[in-house]
Amino acid sequence: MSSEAAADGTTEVSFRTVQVWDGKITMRVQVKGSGDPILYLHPAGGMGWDSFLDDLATDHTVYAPEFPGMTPGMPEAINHLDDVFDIVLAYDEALCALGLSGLPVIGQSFGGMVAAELAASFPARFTEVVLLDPAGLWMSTHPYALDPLAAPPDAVPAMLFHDPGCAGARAMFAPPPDPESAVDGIVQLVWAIGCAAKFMWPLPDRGLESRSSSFRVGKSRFSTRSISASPVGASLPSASWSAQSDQWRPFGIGET
Amino acid sequence: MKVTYIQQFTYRDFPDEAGDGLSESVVTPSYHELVDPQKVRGAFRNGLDEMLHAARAGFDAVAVTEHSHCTYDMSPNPDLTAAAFAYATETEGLETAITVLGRTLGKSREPLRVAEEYSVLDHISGGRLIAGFPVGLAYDANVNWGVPPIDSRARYEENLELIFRAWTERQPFAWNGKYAQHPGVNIWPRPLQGPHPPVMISSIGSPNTLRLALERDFGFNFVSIGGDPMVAAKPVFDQFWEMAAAMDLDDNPYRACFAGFVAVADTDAEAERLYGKHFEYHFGKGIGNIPFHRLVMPGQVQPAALKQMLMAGPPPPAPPPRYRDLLAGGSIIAGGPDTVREKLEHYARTFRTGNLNLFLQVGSTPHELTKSSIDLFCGKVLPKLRPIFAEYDDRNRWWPVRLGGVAPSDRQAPAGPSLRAGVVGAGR
Repeated sequence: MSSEAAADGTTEVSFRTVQVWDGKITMRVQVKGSGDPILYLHPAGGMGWDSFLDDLATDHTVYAPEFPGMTPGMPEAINHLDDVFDIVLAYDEALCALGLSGLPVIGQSFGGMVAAELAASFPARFTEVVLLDPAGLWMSTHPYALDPLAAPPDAVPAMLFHDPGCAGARAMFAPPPDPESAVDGIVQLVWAIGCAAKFMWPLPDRGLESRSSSFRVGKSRFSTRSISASPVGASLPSASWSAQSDQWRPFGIGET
Repeated sequence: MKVTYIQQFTYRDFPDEAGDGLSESVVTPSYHELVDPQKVRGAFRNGLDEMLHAARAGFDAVAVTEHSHCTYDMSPNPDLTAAAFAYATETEGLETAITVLGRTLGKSREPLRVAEEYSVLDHISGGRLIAGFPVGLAYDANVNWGVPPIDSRARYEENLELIFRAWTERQPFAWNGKYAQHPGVNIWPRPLQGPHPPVMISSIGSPNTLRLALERDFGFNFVSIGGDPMVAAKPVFDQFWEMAAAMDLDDNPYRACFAGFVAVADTDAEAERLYGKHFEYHFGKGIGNIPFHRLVMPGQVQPAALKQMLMAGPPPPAPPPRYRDLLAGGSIIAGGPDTVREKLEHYARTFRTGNLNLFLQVGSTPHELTKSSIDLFCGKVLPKLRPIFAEYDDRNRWWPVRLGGVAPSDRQAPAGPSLRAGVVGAGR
C-alpha cells in the first residue's frame, strides 16, 4: 500500500481491503496521511473525509474502515452481521489483519458506539479512546430516539446542527450539481443509515452501559457519567480517555 | 367474481380544522386533544354493525386490516373484530367469508400467537377464514413497533414459514429461528380448514412479494393509498401476470385482487352531494395524511430499487384533495350504480382480478349513509359483477371450501420436504 503526495502537500486516500467473517465480508479501509497510526470509525451516514480528518492526516496515518454494507457495490455485506457482538468480532478480525494495535481510536456517533464496544471487549488494543457524540448509551436526561431517521428530510439539518445555517451544515446537505450523482449520493446515504439502524433502531442502546464495567483500558469505568457534559445543539456530548491519565474527560464539540 | 367489503375502524368525527394535533394521521396524532371517547366507542359499534350489514346484504366476504397508532383504522389486532364478526355470522347462518387482510408479519414478534389466533378464528367461523399476511407499512412495523427497517422483510419471511409449519406439521417440532425460538411448537388448535385456510398476501406491489405469492400459490391483493389505478395498479398486475407466465403458472384470475374506495348513490350527482365531504375527510385527514417518510424508511428498500424510486422523482406536493379531483384522478370509484359497475368491471377485466376488495365506509361517512351505499351496491352493482370470470368458479383455490372454493395446492405448504418430515431445528 502506498499513499501519494498531492500537489497541496496532503496525501491522497488509498484503499485496502481485508477479508473477514470466514471470507464472507470484504472490508474496505480508507487510509490517508503519514505518521503514527490512528483508527477512525465513521458515523451512520458512511465514511467521508472532512477538514477534521484531513488535519489529523497531516501527522497521523488515519485508518478508516467502512462499515460492512456501506461500501458502494457491496450492500449485501450487512446481511452477515446481526448484532453488536458480530460487529466487534468482525472489526477485531480486520484490525488484526491490518496489524493495528496499541493505537488511539476516534469514533464518531455510530462509530463512537462501535469504538466503545471494541474497547470494552478488547481493552488492550487502544492507547486512547475518543468518542465524539457517541451513540450506544441511553441517557434519560437526554433521551435520544434517532429522530433524524424517522423525520422528513427537510427537518434533519436542524436535528443535527445547533445552527443549521452554518457553512458546515450547508455543505453537508448541499446536493452535487449533477442529478444522477445526487441520486447516487442519496441512495448511498440512505442505505448506510439503514445498515447502522440495524444496530441502533429504535433506540441506540444495545447494552453498552453494562458491558462498560469491563472497559478496563485503565481503571476508570466508561459510563454515561463519562459523557455527561452539556450537549451542544441536539447532539450527544463527547468524551475522551487516555491510558496516561486513566481519566475520562468530557468535552463539547467546539473543542474538537 | 368474489367481492369483499373491507371495514376499517376510522375515527369519523374530527372537526373541520383539526389543527397541529392532526398534522399526520399516524404515529403522532394527539388522542386526548382530538377525540371524544364516546365517538370512538361509536366507531367500533358502527363498524361492527356495518360488517354484519354487508354480510346480510350479500357480500362474498368481509375483511378487516391491522394498523396501530393510527386514526383511519383503530385496529391494532384485527383478529379481535374478526372474532366478533365470526361468531355473529355463525349464529345467523351467514355464509360469508372472513378475510383478515393481515396480521402484519414484518412487525409481529409473536408469530405463533398469529398462527393460533387464526386457527381459533377458523374454528369460530366454521372454516370461513381467509388468512392474510402483509409485511406491514414502515410507520407501523418500524416506527410504532421498533423493528429495524432492514429486518422487516427477513422477519416477515421467517414468521410466515413458522406459521405454516405450525399449522401443517402433525408432530411437535423445535424452531430455531433468527427472530423466534421455540423448543416445541405444538399449537392448539390447528386450523379447521385442511391443510390450512386460503392465504392472501396484500402488498403495494414489490416484485419480491409478487414472486412470493406466485411461487407459493397465494392470493395477491394490490393495495394502493390513492392515485389512478391505470397508472399505479396496472404495471403491478401486468408484471404479476408476466411473471406467472414466465413461471409457467396458470392465469386463474382468482389469484389476484384489486382494492378500491367505493360509494354508490342513485346518480352521479347525488353521490357527489352525499359522499363528497367524506372522501375529502378520508384523503385529507386519514389515509391521505400519511407523510412519505412514514411509508419508506432507510434500510427497507435495497439500493438499486431505491435509486429507481428516486429517479422517478418525488411525489408531487398534494393540496387537500377535492372530491372531483379524486374521482377524475381515479383514487375513488363513486357515482350511480352504472358508473360504479362500469369502472369496477373495467378494472377487473383490465387487471384480470377475480377478486375485488372494496372500502365502502370511507372517512367520515356516517353509519346510515354507509348502510345505504352497501344496499345500493349489493342491489344494483354486485349482481352484474358476479358473472365475470364465472368460468373459473370451480377452480378457486383461494376461497374456503365450505363456501365453494377448492383445496389449496401443495405448493402453499412449507418450503421443502425436509420441513414436512418434521426435522427438528429449522434454523436459518
